[in-house]
Amino acid sequence: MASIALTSTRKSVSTLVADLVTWSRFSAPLSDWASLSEQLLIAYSGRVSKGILKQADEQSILALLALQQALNAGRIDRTLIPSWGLVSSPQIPGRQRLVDTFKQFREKGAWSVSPHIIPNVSLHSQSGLISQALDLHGPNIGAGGMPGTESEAIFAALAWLEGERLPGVWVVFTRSEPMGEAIVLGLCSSTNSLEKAQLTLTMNPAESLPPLSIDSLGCAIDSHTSTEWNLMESASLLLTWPEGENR
Amino acid sequence: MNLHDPTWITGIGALTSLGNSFDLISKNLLTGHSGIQKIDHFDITQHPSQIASIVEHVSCPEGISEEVFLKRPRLQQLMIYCCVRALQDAGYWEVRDQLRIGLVMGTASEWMWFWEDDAFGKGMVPPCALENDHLSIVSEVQQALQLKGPRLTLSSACASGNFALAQAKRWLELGWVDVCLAGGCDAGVTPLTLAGFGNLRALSRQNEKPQAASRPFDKDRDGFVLGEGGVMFVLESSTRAKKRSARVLGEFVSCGLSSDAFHLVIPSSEPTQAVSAMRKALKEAKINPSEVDYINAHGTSTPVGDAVEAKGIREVFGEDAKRIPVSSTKSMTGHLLTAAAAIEALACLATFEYGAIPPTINLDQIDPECNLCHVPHQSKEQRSRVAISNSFGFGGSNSCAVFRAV
Repeated sequence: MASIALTSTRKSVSTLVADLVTWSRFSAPLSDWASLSEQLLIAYSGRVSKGILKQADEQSILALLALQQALNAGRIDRTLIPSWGLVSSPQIPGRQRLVDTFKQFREKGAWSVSPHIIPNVSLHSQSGLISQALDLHGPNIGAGGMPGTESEAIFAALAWLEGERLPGVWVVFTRSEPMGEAIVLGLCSSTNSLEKAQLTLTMNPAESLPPLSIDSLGCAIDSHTSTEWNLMESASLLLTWPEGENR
Repeated sequence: MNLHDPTWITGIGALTSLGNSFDLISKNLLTGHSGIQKIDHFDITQHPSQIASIVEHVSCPEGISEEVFLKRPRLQQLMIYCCVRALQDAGYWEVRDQLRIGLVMGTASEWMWFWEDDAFGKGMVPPCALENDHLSIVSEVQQALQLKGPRLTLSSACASGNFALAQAKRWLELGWVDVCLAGGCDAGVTPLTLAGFGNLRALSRQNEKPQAASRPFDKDRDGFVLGEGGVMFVLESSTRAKKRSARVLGEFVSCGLSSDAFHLVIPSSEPTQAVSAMRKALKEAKINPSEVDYINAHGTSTPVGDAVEAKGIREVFGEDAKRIPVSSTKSMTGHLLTAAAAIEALACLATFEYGAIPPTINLDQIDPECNLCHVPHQSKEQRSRVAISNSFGFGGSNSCAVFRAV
């Protein structure tokens, strides 16, 4: 049997910094999502059709609206966007649609199941739709998928940013409950500029810190408050704002 | 970043219709054994496709409390089985508490399996109820195995296994973990999945001949065959593996990733982004196309997908495409969805271990649009040093993983 070396053989990149080049937060009651999706036909003209949006999960609609806000903020070079990566983190998409699907299945049988269900309510569905809407050719994945998994998207995005040499990575968090909400972060490799908001990942667990959540991230973005979180007892994540923007 | 220390694969835990170990699955692949059968664990009379490759039983691995294991959902059992067996295979199970072991799991839609259990189970719980939401399965697995390290559930649909390996490699290079478990698990042979894919017209309807239904690159292919199973790998740096004299199954060299940005379901008719993924993978690996000894194709057996992939392979490999053996092991395993890329990575490692290329069974008449150097029906004896595995998925995700013999 192989003997075990217990010491780490690789030097840890103990601190990794990314510039937060754009961000947005969008919330709306899910009852509004159908009318909101109309806006997207204009915003993503030629990339997504009415038929596609009709089948999309409501969290994906909110994600596209939040992305539009982040793009309109005008903080990024749009010509580089096609090469960006995308990590999308919906939380349990498709709940109501699956209630209806199971009911129909029981009453009418297998033929009643819509062929659009699996492509639209899986973990990767949102990232696939966004990549189509933004014409992204960098990698896209769905990450987490459940409440309490926000940290997973951050690990995935920062690993890509550092390792895949992408010009940027979108990180999108969405949820349906208690109301529809989407948060978008646009991350680029750090330029060490003090004028940029930044995310700093440190591979030193800090158990006294709160866990990363959509709620706390949303508050930090809205208020431009520097905030630090615990990521899975493995790391801490610090969001900082430039001088003058920090409150 | 430590890019100069290769990432080696030193353990495998697997459970599929073709077996529950690297050796058994490899031998079944190399002897052209099909794991596809008629579905008999739920009513299939209304389903257009009635066949699948099925994991009959998930046994409790040694070292895990059987009482607790039996109460866990099936997908969670599958993940635990594969992760425990992988760590045991690598020699890390007994010392896992002394290491930072990361966990990157390719899987999609775990909530749907829970809801489907509720919907078609004993009727005690209403499906999709907010109050019945569970913790993430991967966090449950991490707790059950007492692993200390970051974790990630990811999905890029059928390419998930390759994306998981790529993340794990980066985590190792960044020094975030000492060792990383990565791969994919899927328990997708359920009434809802079979109906969803069936009504999408993505599945083969050759129900009378289950073992002949998955026919990648064949003129008579008519869709993929649903499958389930899991394959997890232990990845670590070569320095660590050498230091402990570990058995090495191969090097995970690189993975090219891209997106079509074309359609949620249909692959682009031009393989531009699939080609980009293959080229990125070879470039990062510093390997010329002519140095590749085997291509494990995505080859799902769908009319559109196989032809586009063949076109992409010809574009990347040029004249070399006429002599580099290509096969699709989905002809035997069916399509394991988010675990597909993981079992195909295993197939690449099998070529190093056994000195043979697995065949594409059922390839009776090669579709002229799929012209490549196929390995029909029977395995081909050949020592391989470099193998690549293509995996593409819904949502337009493309990936190409490069493996090298050590």
